[in-house]
Amino acid sequence: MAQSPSTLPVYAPEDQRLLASVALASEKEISGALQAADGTRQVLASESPKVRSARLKWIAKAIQGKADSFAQIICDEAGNA
Amino acid sequence: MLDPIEELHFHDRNARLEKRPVGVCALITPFNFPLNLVAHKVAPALATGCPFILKPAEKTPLTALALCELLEQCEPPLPPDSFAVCVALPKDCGPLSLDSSVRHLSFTGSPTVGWQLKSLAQRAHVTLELGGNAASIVCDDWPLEHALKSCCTAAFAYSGQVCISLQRLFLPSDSFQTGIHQLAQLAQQLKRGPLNEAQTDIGPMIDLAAAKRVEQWVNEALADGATLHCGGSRNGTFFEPTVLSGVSHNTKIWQEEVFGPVVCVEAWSDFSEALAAVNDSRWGLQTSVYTHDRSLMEQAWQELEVGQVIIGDATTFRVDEMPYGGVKDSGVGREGLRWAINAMTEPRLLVLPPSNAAERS
Repeated sequence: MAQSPSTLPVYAPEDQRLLASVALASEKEISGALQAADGTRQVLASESPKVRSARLKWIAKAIQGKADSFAQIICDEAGNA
Repeated sequence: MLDPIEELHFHDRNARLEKRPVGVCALITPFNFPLNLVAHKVAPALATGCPFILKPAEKTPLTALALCELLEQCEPPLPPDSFAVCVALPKDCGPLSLDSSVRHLSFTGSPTVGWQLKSLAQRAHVTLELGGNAASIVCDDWPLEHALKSCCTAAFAYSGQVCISLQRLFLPSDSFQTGIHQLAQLAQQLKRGPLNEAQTDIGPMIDLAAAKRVEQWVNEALADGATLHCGGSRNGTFFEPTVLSGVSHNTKIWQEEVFGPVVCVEAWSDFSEALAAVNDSRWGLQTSVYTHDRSLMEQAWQELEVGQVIIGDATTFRVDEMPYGGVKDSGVGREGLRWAINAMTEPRLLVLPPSNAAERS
């Protein structure tokens, strides 16, 4: 039986240069991540809307702070931004 | 945030309705907007308190992984294991639809994969944002030049790799020849250049296979009698902005989602027939109509078989807050913050006894 690759090369659409090789999750690892996530269901559900709101605002601000970096990554890997 | 609590009354009972997070969400995103379309799914999951597994497109996982780094640092911190970004091959993604822990599956991508996932996901609520072959109808009362500029952007931005990219354009028969000539001129003026420069209009397609497929579909249409007004050529992963007319309705480029920089133009003289032509498709995502005439707007909205009708703007008009989704083969369910939050929550009802319940017993 052929072995699945453990990494995935990511290429730039513009010139086919290799941007990165990323780790691939196996089916077993995805199942494990789902089970682990399911284990946090009650903790997350018990959080107040205020906590969730604060978290979203933090993330929005962090994305804005790295806007140029995100734009470059998107340009590189998607070919459009 | 939405207020999650609603007070209800049934006969002599008071009740309280809460929206509770559904549980684990499986979020599967496409290559074309690696941050925005991820945010459309991740933000509602965070807002509702749902754990999630994000599976980004294999072609564009780097943006999602960069976002993951931010989520790992966020304040207040997310509970460990409450989210994961899994870059994976399709053959390994079975658990995202089959695992009993998944309560909501949100997929944006190809219809073949989307409908297959829905058939497998027996226990999960499913939202599918799939393809389209969006159409615009330009009416006589709308300035042609303005409509054509708008349509040019809608057809060729992101090299047409947008599910609401303009693919079928209906021009009034009186201005058809002028319009198609002007549209071809506009398309030829689009600038190809470095992607991180603001003045660049056209970038590459996502890979060589995608560009070659578009090339093949265009050649098939030309062999079937279509007229080429501009474009039609490929250079590596770049495909020139292409304007066609006289396209047979039996061709792939008319019937299917081209997902490339190609627009097919037709003349119309009867508005009802134009609407029927738009509806003559297995897709039903978004259509735009350029008119000031309220009766035509109303007729379009009533008769078009699509999720959204846009008046006086491009088929690609979308804001994050609006409900967005398709009918027919274009999908099921809606995205947009409020609608995604609804999909990621389920009602839980508390019914209280009547005030005189003790006396009754």
